[in-house]
Amino acid sequence: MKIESTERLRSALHDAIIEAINCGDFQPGDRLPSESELAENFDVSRNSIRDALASLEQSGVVIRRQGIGTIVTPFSDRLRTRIDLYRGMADLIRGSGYEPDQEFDRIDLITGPSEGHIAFGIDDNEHVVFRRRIFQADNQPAIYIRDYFRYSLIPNIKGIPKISGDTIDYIEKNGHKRIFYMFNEIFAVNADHELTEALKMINSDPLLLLKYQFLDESSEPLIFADVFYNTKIIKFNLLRIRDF
Amino acid sequence: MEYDTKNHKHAVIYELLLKAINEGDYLPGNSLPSESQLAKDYQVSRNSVREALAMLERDAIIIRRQGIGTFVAPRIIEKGKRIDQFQTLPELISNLGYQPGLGFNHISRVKGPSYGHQTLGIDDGVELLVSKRLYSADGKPAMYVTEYIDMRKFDQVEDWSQFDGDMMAFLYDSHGVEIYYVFAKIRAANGTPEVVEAFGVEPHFPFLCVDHLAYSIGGDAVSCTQTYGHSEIFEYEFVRIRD
Repeated sequence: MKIESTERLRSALHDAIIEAINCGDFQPGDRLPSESELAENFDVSRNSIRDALASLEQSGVVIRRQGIGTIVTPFSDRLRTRIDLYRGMADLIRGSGYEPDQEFDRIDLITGPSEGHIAFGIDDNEHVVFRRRIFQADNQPAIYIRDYFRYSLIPNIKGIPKISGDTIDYIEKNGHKRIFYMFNEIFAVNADHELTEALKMINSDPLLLLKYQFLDESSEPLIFADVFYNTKIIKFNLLRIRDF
Repeated sequence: MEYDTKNHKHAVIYELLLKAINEGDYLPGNSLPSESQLAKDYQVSRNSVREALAMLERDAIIIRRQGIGTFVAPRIIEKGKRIDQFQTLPELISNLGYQPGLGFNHISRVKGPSYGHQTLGIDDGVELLVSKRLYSADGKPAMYVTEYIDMRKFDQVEDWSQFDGDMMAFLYDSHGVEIYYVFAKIRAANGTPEVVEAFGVEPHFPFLCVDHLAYSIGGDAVSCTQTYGHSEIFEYEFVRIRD
């Protein structure tokens, strides 16, 4: 299949360029050779090179600017904790330099009023699945998660659902819906009583709150999640590139 | 150095596509025509279309998925709330819909050890310039910034009389130092005593902090900041597509 081989070529080029950076052929701040030189070196088309560079830029390894060229950033080692790209809590904790673990996972069926009922804009007597989890970094609690989804989303499940692993995967398997994208809002908040206990913090210490909405392709919200991070432990990074 | 993008074809295509999206020709969540179709429609090369799409993707206006296609983002986030956006503080405050102002700019010089020396990787014996600034939004305290700048590469004594709060423009105009990219750390924190005093808030007030480490094009770390943003003024948003 053509798409698959194009994809494979792109990811092979992506890895080859990262390899060249990691073994010191290119230093942070260095310009990469031009697209046509790279195309010649790797013996592929310029379009393939261009796609590979676009994916490297997307992940923050290089930046490309009209009239300047392609420049290697000093961040290739810090990408795992990029706030806009990280893959799951365990990865985020590892990227922050700690060993991840999950210490608490509780699932309840609740009626309103709750944050979940408000977020979905549904009647208080409708059942909502409410899942709370705590993730640890080197045995200290670091992340607290509250997930909400409508019980009616999983019509074949009787009683309180048993979920292990990601809530998203569970919904996709049992709810026959695909999660297409997520929308996040970021706030700084004080820890309330429950959070202070859960994350073993001093009363009302500040936390970073990411409010997640997981939506399907028709923009219908399937899960609302409030995730609280102790940023004394969890490192969140970001790359900002100037436009011209 | 000025880069004139206005006359580039891809910049024109960017504007035209953005206009079409804003006017509802392409609806949120719906797919865009293929690159070749767009090239035909706008009578430009496929490369120009590709560049324009890359710019739209960077601005989170469209989303591209390998093998599936290009979609209009389901939600277009206003610029002031885009966490990945490179903007100066006055720009950011004004993009959030407030009138920006600069309350004070206290200049001093410090030798190490300091946050600045540690972050910039500079010897404690070297003197760094420190600028402590308070920005306001509609006249209310909005962000407290402590910035450390390595002035050794600068060839003249700085004149702060013209400083309007835009540090990037200041470094460029008076010293020719241009910042190209920034590595940022995001955290939630309480203010230091001087921050709490400047804002006039309770000691437990939560601040949203985005600390910068700014690089020149050659990869030299030029300056670093610690910021304290008022959590009722600054909030960020982003959209991510599932892999």
